[in-house]
Amino acid sequence: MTDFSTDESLIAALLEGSDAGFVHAVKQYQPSMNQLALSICGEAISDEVVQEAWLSAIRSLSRFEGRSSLKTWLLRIVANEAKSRLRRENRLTSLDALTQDDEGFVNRFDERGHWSVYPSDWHVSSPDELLSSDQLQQCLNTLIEALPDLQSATLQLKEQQNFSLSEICNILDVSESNVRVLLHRARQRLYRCIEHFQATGECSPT
Amino acid sequence: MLSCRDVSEGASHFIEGETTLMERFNLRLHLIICSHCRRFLKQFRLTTSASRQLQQVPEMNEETAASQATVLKSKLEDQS
Repeated sequence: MTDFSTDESLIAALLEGSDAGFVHAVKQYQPSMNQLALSICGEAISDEVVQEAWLSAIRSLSRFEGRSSLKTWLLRIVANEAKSRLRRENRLTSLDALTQDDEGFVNRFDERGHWSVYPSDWHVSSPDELLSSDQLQQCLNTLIEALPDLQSATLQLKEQQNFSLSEICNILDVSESNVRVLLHRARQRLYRCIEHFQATGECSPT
Repeated sequence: MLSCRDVSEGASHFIEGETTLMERFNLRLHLIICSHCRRFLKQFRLTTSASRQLQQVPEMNEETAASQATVLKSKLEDQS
């Protein structure tokens, strides 16, 4: 079995057209690529986007300079492809819209910045306890899937794929300050969803 | 002096742990006197940890990877 443990060895194998190299690369990276494409542009075109991304990645592989990891580079190509698809279809949400104040939070403070609607007590002390409700899990999954493109992608890259904020700005080609806001806005939506569920036992409208 | 709105808007920044000494000091000071923000920040942290457990990236099995790799290689050959 050939060793593909370093980016260099895997890239060399791909450039030679090695079957084992291709299988390894797909197995290793495609789940992350799928997930990212899904979060940006949705199920209907995500497979196509990933395929296009692979093709353009392999074609430009000889120009890969190793300034980031191979994985980050591949995901950047996926994000780019997914964003340009949305842009062509006029479906890409503007960064302004994605980073503006969370409407569910702005009205909770008075003019001096004090809470006017207090945070309610959820009476839970651990994430496991919180997620012990299948129904809440379902609400959260639905919400995450409904989050708009780059907000969803940021949340996913940070929480599911453990990328740092600076890697996320590299992948999504968004400034670090915008990445911070995107992440915070996504988390605020999740917070409101849980808050609503704990109070009513129902999913909030997304 | 931090306001509750500042704590709420800064919550992600605070829990990511990239804060300066001054920011941590100001936050502590606020939390000592504000039970609402203590509760909010605790539950915001809980929200974040819970979201890490959702929508995990699935593993891909060998057969699926092999068939995808074959498709990919044949597409590349078509184009060259």
